[in-house]
Amino acid sequence: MNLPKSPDIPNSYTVFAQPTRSGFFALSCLRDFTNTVIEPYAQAETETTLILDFSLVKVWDIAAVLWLIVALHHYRHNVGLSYLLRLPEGKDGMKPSDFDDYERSADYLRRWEFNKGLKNIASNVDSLLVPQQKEYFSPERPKHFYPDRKIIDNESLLQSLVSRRLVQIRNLSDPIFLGAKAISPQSIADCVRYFQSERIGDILNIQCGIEKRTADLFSDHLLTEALMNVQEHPNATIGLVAISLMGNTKELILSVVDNGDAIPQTIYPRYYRDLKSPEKRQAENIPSYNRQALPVEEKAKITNYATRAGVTRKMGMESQGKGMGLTYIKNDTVNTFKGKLRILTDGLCLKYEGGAAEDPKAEGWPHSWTGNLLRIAIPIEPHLQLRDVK
Amino acid sequence: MAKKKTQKPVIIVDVAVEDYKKLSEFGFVHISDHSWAKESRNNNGFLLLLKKCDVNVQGQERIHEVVISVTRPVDNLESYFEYFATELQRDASKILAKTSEPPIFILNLMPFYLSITRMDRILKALFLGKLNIRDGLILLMVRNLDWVLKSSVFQDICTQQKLPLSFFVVDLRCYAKRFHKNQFSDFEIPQGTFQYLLDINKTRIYNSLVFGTNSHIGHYELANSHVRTHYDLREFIARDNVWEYLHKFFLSLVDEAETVLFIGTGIERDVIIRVGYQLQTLFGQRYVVTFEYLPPLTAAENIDTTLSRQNDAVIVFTDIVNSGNTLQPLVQKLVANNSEHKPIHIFTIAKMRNSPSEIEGIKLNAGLTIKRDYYTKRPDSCKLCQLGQPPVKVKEAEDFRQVLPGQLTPYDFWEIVTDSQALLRKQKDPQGRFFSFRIDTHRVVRRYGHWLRNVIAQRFAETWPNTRPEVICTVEEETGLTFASLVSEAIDVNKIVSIPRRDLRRVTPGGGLPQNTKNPFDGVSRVLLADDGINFGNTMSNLIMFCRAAGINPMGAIVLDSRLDQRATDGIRVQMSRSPLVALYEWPTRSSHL
Repeated sequence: MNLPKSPDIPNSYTVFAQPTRSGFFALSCLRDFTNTVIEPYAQAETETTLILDFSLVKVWDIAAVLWLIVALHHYRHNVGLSYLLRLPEGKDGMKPSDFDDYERSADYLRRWEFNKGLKNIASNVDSLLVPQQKEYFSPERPKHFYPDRKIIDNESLLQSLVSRRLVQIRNLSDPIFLGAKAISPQSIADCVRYFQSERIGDILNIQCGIEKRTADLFSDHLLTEALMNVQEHPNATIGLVAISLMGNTKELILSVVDNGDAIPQTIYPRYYRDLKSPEKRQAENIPSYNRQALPVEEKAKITNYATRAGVTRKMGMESQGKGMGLTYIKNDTVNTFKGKLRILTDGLCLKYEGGAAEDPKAEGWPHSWTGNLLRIAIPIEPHLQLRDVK
Repeated sequence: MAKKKTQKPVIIVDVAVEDYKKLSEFGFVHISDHSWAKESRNNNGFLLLLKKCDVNVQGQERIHEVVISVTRPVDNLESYFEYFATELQRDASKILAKTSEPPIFILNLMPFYLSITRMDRILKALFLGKLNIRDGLILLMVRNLDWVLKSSVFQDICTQQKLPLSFFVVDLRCYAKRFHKNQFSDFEIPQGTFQYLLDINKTRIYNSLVFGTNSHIGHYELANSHVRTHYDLREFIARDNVWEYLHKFFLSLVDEAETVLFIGTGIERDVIIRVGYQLQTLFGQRYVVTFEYLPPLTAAENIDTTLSRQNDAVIVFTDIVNSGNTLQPLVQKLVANNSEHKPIHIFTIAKMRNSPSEIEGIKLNAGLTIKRDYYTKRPDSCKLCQLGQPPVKVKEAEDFRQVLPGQLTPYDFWEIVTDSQALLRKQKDPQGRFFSFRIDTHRVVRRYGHWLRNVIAQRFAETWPNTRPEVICTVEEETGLTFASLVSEAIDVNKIVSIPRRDLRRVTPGGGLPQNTKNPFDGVSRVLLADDGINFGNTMSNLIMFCRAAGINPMGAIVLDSRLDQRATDGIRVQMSRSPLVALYEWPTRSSHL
């Protein structure tokens, strides 16, 4: 690959994350970036420092941001890849509209506290950034594109969410400390308490015209179940949740990610017992899950099976009355909110929309790290004024 | 033999507060206050609630309270509620043995933020298990009734006809559903019903703000005044009883108006907007409600007076009023544009003792009056300026949350000691040593624990960045444990190891741990010592020695106050291989003088 050297960082190469033509960094852009650009370096076990350059990104999908954190953690922790991040920002000489777009993009990362997520990788986040951006998360300029006060703007849903600190990325573990807590029911409980006590339902009711009881279900139910679901993925040390808005599609986005065992892996024994070999009830007869051997279609079936009522990784008596979390999330996202659910796990992406009972669309989404991503997109009323959102 | 006819029993069933921690291990989330706990509510309100549900109650019913704690070990939520159901069955049987009347059960789950999967497990244990209360009526109280109605287990229970004869579910938002003889109907109970159930006594609400809410103490310079304290209204207004208390005020101000403009203004923007939204949601079904938030310093410039003229009434509300000067221009403009003499009201969540009773001739309605004064901006009239207390310029609510490097200042320390009545004179300590002056830590923590937590968290973060102890170690005495608990809450470390005094006395540098003493630090590498105060340093020295005998070098120590001079402090630090010793307050006098 013929890549530019960075003049002030020895033995380094810059690789660019390519957003869509409009500057949007979607999950698919992350997939392309990691698979076609980063992976070759990761496999080559190079001593080179990669400058992962995101300076072309104007608009972020919050799910891609969270999944990027899990990916970066993997490349540092499991692969030992040396890298630095270059994040977008407005620069002298840019067209005013571009300058604003990149400043907005930078402000987004600051307001959503991307640095909190990066704490999972390094306690000193500055050490993950190129030298020119050491002050990136504590700029002298205010975050004027995503203000949390001083503006009379009760019409903006985004403004309300920002001012109530509901958008920032939340860690479900505590990576800041030596001796950090792993993801625990307690840390999830703290997060649930915050979201439920902040009455997001009132905001959605008043600003989106969503009926009160339905609006309350967003935080009282969808968000809570999505958070609780992280506990079903063993070996997770990272758990992240965030809410955002997509102005172009007029959707409220909730995303939860973890780096635990993948859903197909956890559900495989149950799937095998129930569907492949119902006559063989003993667990010892169930072959172990082989990530490499199973085709995407099979993994999609297993993952889809996990969203059915009563399907849980637990077996026997322990499983009774359980296995409803993903079912409720799927049904309410698609049926109650008329939204879309995306589950990204173990190399595939399942998309549910327009009727939960229908088989989801499945596509390959190769990734070398373990983990799971839920992306819930809820449509909001078209009359909303989303003037702060791209 | 037929049982004697007696009063209809109403059995109120609660989960014991001491079980909340156990339940939280299963992802069961409780609210952060005790609004719904047995001792903080009015049980007659339950009868009113039943009436609002059209249940035939006469007011003569006998109310029984059953608070259930599951003492046996459980490893999941289902097991907990299975045992809960068993305990409930046993307690209910005792009550029902004395009556032939069908019972009314009220199961209070209001203190919990649940989810549908959590509700599945509760309902399964209660209705598909051993509990047999089919003859009575059950009223289930939850924060969101859709957790019940959307539960697949609940749908199974309905299909299997395992619900009691009459079943009601009511939620905090006043939505309700009735199931009776396989028929069901939706209804709503009147807004404000919970006012009669929760304790909205003014003194209780006041104590809840001043002593039960996270607070900050300092010298805060606001635009028009100087103040000493700030309370975290964000946490305060999220409490159910506080909201009912405020709701009552707002309801009285709205009175007969059909269209109301609420203008929220104040430095606690998040709080104001939250209240505004809640009012819109609450009153929106009965009145036409408009809500505007205006930043305090430019509110008068930005108010749209056509909006105020279009409504039957205007209610200006704010977080805290000190001098009233910030509100004055806004109110003045509203009054000047009120040619039709429509009602204009002002409401503040709290005001100070010396705040004005009216602004521009309009009564200042206050939820609470804080028993403190505000000071004017003139340095000669501000006691805090005169005493040289380090000032914080407040431009936004976040500025209140700072702990300055100089805190606790002597004024901070002695004010909290005096206000808590915690200065003990001429008394012995638990070790029998006589002191001219001693501090009652328990009293200080009871009154000012919230603020001290902030100070501890700040000092801890400065002294030990990016690390956290696995264990907090203290002496097994009430004073030490009180402070250690506060430290554990401040830095979020759950494990406290307390060492009995007799073990501390027996530990020697050359002898390892005392005989018959187990090492409490097995598998632990980071221990933080905590004690309420250091007088001569003996207890702290012994705690360090105990840790070292157990193979641990403490990462440091934190105490509320220290009477040691620099040399003695260094001596303690040397024992810990120069690890830090943090005292929130250092007495200026040597211990031998006290």
